[in-house]
Amino acid sequence: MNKEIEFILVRWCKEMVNKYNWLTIKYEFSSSYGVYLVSFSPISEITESEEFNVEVMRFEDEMNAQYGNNAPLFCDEERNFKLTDNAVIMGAEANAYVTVRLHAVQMTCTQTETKESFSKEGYVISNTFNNTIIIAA
Amino acid sequence: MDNMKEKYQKNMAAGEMLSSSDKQLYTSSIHCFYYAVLQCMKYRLAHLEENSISYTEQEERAERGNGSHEFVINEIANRMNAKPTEVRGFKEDIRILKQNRVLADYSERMFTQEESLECRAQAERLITNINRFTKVAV
Repeated sequence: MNKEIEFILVRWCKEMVNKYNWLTIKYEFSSSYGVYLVSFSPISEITESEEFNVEVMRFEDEMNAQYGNNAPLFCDEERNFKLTDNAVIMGAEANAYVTVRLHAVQMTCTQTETKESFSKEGYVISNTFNNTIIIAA
Repeated sequence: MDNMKEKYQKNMAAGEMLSSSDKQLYTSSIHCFYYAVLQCMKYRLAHLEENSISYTEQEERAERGNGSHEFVINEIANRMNAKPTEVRGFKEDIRILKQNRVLADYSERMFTQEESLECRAQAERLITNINRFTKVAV
C-alpha cells in the first residue's frame, strides 16, 4: 500500500510545485508514525494563497478517505513534526538549494573524481541521490 | 451541563493527570487527549447556532460514511468561520493527534512525557480553535 501512496503523493507533489513556483514540498516515510510525512513551505506564501489551501485540503481529505490511518500526515514548515536530512525535497528550494553531501557522492564516485569535475565545471551537479541534488564542494 | 461537554472536560483533566503522573502513564494520556477533542467537536456540532447536527444524526450519518471520526472532523471543519489556511491547519493537527492515538492504543510504541505534553498542548490548541471558529446557541 505504501508504494501506491507514494506514487500518488509524488505525482501530486510534482503537479503542485509546477503550479506554484514558490512552493517547496518535503516528504519522507516515518517509521515512528508509520506513514508519510509531508511539509509545505514557505508559510509567508501559503497564507496568502486561498487557492493553494483549498487545493491541499481537498487532496488531504481524499487521501484520508481512501487510506484512513495509512494516509500521509501534512503540515506547514514542519510545525507538527521534524523531517530528517533524508527527506525528499521538491520545488523551489530543491531547484535553488545547494547541499553538500559528500557521503552520498562517495557512494557514486571517488573523492578525486568529485574534486576534478568540481574544478572543471566550477560547480558539480552530476549525480542525484535519493532525489536530492548532490553538489560536491 | 451537557454530558458530552462534561465528558470532554473530564477527558482533558484525566489526560493531564496521566501526563503529569510520576507513574509513567504518558502513553495512556494520548487516548484521553484525542477523545477530549473528538467529544468537544461532537458537542459543538450538536449545539451550533446554525446547521447543527444532533448526536443521533451524527451517529446515523457517520455509519453511512467513512467512519465516525472523519465524519465529525469534516463536518465541524465545514462549519468553521475561518480562513482556508486555518481550517486546513485544524484538520492537519487533529489528524496528527488521531494518528498518535492509534499508535498509543494499538502499536508497540511507548510515548515519553515530552510527547505526552506535546499532545496535551495540541489538544488544548484544537479545543481553543473549535470554540473560536464555531458559534453555539446560548
